[in-house]
Amino acid sequence: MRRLFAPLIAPWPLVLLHGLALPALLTAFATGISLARAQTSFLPAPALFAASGSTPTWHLALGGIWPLLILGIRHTRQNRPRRRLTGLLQLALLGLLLSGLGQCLWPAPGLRLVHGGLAWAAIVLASAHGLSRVWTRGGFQALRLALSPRGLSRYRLGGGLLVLLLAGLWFLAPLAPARFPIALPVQPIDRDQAPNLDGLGDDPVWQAAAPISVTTLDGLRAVPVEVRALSNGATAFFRFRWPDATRSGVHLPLVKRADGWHVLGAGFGQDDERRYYEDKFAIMLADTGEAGGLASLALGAAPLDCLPGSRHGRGLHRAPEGKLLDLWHWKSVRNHGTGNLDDSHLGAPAAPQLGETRYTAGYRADPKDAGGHADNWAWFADGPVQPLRLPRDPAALAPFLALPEPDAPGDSGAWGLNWEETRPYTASQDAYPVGTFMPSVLWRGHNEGDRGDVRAAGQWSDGWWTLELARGLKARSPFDLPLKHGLWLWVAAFDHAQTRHSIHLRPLRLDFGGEARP
Amino acid sequence: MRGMSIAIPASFLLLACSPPPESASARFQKLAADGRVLELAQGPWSCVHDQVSGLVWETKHLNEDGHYHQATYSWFEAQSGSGMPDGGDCAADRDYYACDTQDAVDAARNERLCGLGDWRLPKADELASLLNRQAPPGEPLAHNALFPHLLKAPYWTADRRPGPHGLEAAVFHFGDGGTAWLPPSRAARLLLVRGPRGDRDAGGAAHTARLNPQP
Repeated sequence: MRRLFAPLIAPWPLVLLHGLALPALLTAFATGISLARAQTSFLPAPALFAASGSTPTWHLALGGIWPLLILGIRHTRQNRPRRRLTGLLQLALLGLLLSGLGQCLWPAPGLRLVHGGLAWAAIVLASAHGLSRVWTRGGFQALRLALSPRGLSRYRLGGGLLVLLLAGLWFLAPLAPARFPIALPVQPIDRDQAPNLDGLGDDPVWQAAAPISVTTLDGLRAVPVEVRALSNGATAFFRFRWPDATRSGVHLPLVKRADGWHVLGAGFGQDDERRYYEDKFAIMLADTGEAGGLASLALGAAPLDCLPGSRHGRGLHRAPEGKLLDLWHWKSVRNHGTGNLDDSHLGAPAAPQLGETRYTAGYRADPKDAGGHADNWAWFADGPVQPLRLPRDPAALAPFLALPEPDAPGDSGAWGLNWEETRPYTASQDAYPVGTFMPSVLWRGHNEGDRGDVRAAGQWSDGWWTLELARGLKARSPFDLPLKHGLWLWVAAFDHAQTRHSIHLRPLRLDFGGEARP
Repeated sequence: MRGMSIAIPASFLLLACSPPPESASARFQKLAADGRVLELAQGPWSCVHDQVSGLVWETKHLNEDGHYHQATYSWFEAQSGSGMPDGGDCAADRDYYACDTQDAVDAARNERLCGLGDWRLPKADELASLLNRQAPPGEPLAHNALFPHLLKAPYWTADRRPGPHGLEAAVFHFGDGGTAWLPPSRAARLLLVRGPRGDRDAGGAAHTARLNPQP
């Protein structure tokens, strides 16, 4: 008993900083695992260690605390003997900070790989660091030492408190990337000017717009996106270009087998199709930098209290409370030839609906009155499905005799049928032989209503997508944001993936310039 | 500061989530076109059985046939000769033809939709029982996963009254959840129902729906 109340030998700021460091490390690690799982993983990211909730925000906040904690710990220990293990751990944590900060400002696959590797190294070293203390000093004694503050100079007390204050300030600060936006100049053009929106992007008027490049990352894959913007005072025009080696025109095709039609794919039932899926592109717009980006993510199996999780278990989208995020979702096959995209939005998480098979929280397509696209099955199943429609003329399936491999280069076109060239399915007319392929995308024309507010045309050529968009500057729907100076943007590329996409942290910001501001 | 918080599972804090206002499995069943009962996670389905009211509802779909979601109807009752025949616009594959509510009722009865032969127009309060004010913003105020092609539009009911210019029939609007009166010549949507008819069915108030009535 006497030893338990032995003289105090550990400075209490050191104890306090360690008390902060341990949960910070564990939380940063768990939130990082969630982030890694949300994309194409390149290192082990077991669900067991994944955090749930507003994890990206915490990951960034805790990342900022590290240098201060390390400085504080070094400060309080400056006269104590150095240990190699502790030094390695501190180096790993500093490396994590630098590679994390680097990703925020200059996204690069190499930095991401270093960051992921150091995260695992830090966990291992921190565990060894703790165990070594127990080993060298003995269980309860180590705890007693850790809990026993000793005389401390005013200088060190002040320094420790300063470190804690700075850590707290950082923690409460808005997301760091939003402080360093990339200006996207919106070049003014004459009122009667407008680029021809055909997806080629070669209208001479685009040359007037300064190209801005933003690097997005999906796992270790970097997708640089070039953005140009124009405004004629009534309408804003955007041109996006990004590399993609494959056209990915085959979207969940149907194949006739002995027991009926089947949907080809691997993961659609869990909303994680990555084999036979179209390429997509999304633009998210927000009126504050802090409300968009990673703040729109809630990661984990069921990250929102009392609400269902996603079927893929990686997380859900939603807008922070009281915010609306406009989301332009372009789908290369389903929107092909329709002249617009699926205007969507992120809002507050919706109440679960009776009978819904996929809960999407705050992500919703804007309402539509007619048009758009439909899936060519009466009900999706992993086994046989009944098509919704069959071609009026079997010759309509002639372009789809052979199924291209998902990774095949070249342009196999968009696999879809116009609604009007099909008719309702009847078994009596289903005389197609086993082995027949049929598209599952039925084009029903231009989205009518709020969902059709953004005109769009995209073309794939020689390993590059070009996407041209146009929308009125004013918001004509309660689910849209007005396009104005200072609006924040994020872009995401989906490489034949249903829900996995590239991301970037530093937002773009519309810059309408001086007099051209709407 | 909500965006800065990690969601801690309520179960971890031993807090109970408030239960949903209606239990899906307890209230609704899907019925296949031949009348088979399906789980809520199964499909395709052609009708929805509300086990609370005992009513079975038609569902609409995209194909252009007798249950086409965009079809419109004038209000007409053949038995009394009330209303306006053939003032709507129905579809059969590529062809469109004039139609009314009686045509829809007759077609569903002849088809024996979901194995049932006593389809009729719903009363306004019956349609209102499908109202779901928890529907996401911008969507019809209904259980849209069960009735995926319902529109934010007026739907005819069986309720009628003499109006200043002749007969009027009630419509229920899934856009605002309100009821209004229209002359029968106007075109509106239709969602058929079968089952206990409330005050019209003398002595039948307490019975539950029989999914397989006598033909």
